[in-house]
Amino acid sequence: MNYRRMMRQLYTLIIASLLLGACNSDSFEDAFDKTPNERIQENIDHYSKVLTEAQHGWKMAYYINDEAMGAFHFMMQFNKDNKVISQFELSDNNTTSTYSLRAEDEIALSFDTYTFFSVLADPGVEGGQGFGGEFEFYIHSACADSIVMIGKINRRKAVMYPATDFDWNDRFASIHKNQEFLKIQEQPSMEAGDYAIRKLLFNSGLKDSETVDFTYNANNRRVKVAHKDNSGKIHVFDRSVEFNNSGFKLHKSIEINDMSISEFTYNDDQKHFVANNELCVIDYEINGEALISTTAPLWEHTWKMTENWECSESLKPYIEESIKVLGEDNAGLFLFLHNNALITWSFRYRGISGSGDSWSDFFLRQLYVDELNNMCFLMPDNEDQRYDQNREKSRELYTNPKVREFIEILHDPKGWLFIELEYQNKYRLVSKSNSNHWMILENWDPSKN
Amino acid sequence: MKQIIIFLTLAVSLLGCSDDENLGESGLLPPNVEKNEIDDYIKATFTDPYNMVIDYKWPSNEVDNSKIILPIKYELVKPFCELLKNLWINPYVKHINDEFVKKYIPKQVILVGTPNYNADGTVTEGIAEGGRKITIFSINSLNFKDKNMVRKQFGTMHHEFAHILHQTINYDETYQQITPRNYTLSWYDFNHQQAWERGYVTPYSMESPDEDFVEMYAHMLILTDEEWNDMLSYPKTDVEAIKRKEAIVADYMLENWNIDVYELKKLIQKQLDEL
Repeated sequence: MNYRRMMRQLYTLIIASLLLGACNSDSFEDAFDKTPNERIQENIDHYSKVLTEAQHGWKMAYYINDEAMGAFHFMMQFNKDNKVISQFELSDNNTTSTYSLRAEDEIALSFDTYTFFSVLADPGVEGGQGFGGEFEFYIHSACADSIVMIGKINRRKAVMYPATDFDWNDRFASIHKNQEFLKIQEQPSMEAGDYAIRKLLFNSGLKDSETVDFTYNANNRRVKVAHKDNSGKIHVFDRSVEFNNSGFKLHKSIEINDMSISEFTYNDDQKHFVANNELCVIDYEINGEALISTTAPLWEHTWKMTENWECSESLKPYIEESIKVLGEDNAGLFLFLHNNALITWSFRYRGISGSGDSWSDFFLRQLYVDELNNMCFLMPDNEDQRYDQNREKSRELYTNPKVREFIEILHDPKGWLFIELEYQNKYRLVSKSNSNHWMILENWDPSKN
Repeated sequence: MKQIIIFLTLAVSLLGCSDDENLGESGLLPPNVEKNEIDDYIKATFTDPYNMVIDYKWPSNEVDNSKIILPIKYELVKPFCELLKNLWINPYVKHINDEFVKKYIPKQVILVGTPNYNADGTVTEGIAEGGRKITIFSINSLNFKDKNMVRKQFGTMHHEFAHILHQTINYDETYQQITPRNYTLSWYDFNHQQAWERGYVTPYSMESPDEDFVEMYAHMLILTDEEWNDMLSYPKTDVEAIKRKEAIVADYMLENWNIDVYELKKLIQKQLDEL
């Protein structure tokens, strides 16, 4: 090693030692007067105090996903022994579970044993996926007026507000009442054949020609508001609903002709909801024009038309001819729905087999039907004899010109409007191509056949 | 010169050390929780005598967070722990002794409420890791009054415990040679009868020799005599293979752990009868 190189290394070491020597625990000042742990612990203690000191605990309207589902309601009383007593609007009982405050990336409130929040996350619900609820939240702020949290996984906001004695005793009853009021109700002024459509009726501010449909789907707690403007264009708003003691509010307001509407109160005298701006009400219009379908029933439901065969005069000749072919006591018209889309109309024929009455389907059209050969799909059947009978009946149906015409009407290229007549049980279907064509289908419970 | 460099290096290293330096508190803050009556019960029943921890509060760092898994119901913790004591720990204590349990029982048992669903459609009922930890799933759906259901759930405990035993002392390699060709990761494509035909007690036994070994042990303990005989009397069962495996498991347990599987089974069945 030459002298210069050696000296360079020596200088490097001396400089390094001087620099490192400056790093002494006594020689710097803390930016804060407390250690990070002390500061975190202080926050945890503060959150714990806020959680446990609310005299009547906390209430929460929890949106799992405000773009897909309305709010669920909880009540919680946090105790100092890390137990939490909870109420959930869908349960009659209180439950006791545990909670903890944990220092993670942020301070997390963890419902660390199974509680009502877990119900909304349980993979046992909705085919192993659950509804996507959470049971751990990061606390963003906490004071006596509110606790603002963010879901640990989906990062959605959840806010708790202080509860009252009333909330524990009566809040859910009020919420349930308002949920029922928002479902479709039969109107006393209706006569046979009448139907009622729920509308947003304005007492000022909109021209007479303008009309707004207001439909509610209790399955996902959302409303669909359709507004037809002066040019005839229809604007549709989908909104999640949050019920409260007096009525409900929309998760996001709707804007109709510069008017913002977001909250409604139930008026028990008038039996309708009044917007908080008092410029409109949600009420029924008898036999009015429907702008949009109510959210169509779920796919596992089948809708039938038998016995009364309620339909428009325009459809009667077709239905009568179909019944004639099928046999009066044996016929049924069924509609199968998948994911809110019209998939299959079918005639059903009740054949007599060794085991008693049973139905066979003549699917009028399905996606995989061989339309070129005008073949209908016949349900598989174990009994050859009945199979032959059905095939004959099928041929009879498909060679009847009136029935074939009816099939074309049923497969309206523009689709059918669903107007809910009786909550989740009865729908009026109106052809979008020709509003003179309508019929009433009822929910079909296969167990009752 | 070399000495100077060494001296300076040492000096620099030692400059950082001050004899009054305090390393301070741990940077890890435990959850802010009070002990409750369940915690006291666990301490008295498991931690003090056997040095075991039962984690029932959501152990977010101990489970696969990419899956939808949920905590146990609070009211089920103690009943499940009672079963743990009666159907798992006590039979070993009675059959061998306290010391064996204290030494080999996993030090951490994690209780989870819901099933652990896998992407291939199967469900993991339990996981044993590193000889010290067992995670048990699906407790919320356990019907504590249904003896068969409880029996099968505790098959999982014996299954996982057997993993810990064979991870400590390995079993005879000839076991792997009895039915070497049918081990498959697609074990879930087979039903019980198809597994028996191939010389396995369950479809999951076909996953690997280790799973085969511990499934055999767990089923020797939890199947009733009638169920065991049903399996052997099924016309296509490979009886010879199953009996050879049974013998190796029984010998291994007796020679290495002083466990007479058949005596232990009687103790467990007695406890089950008393449920």
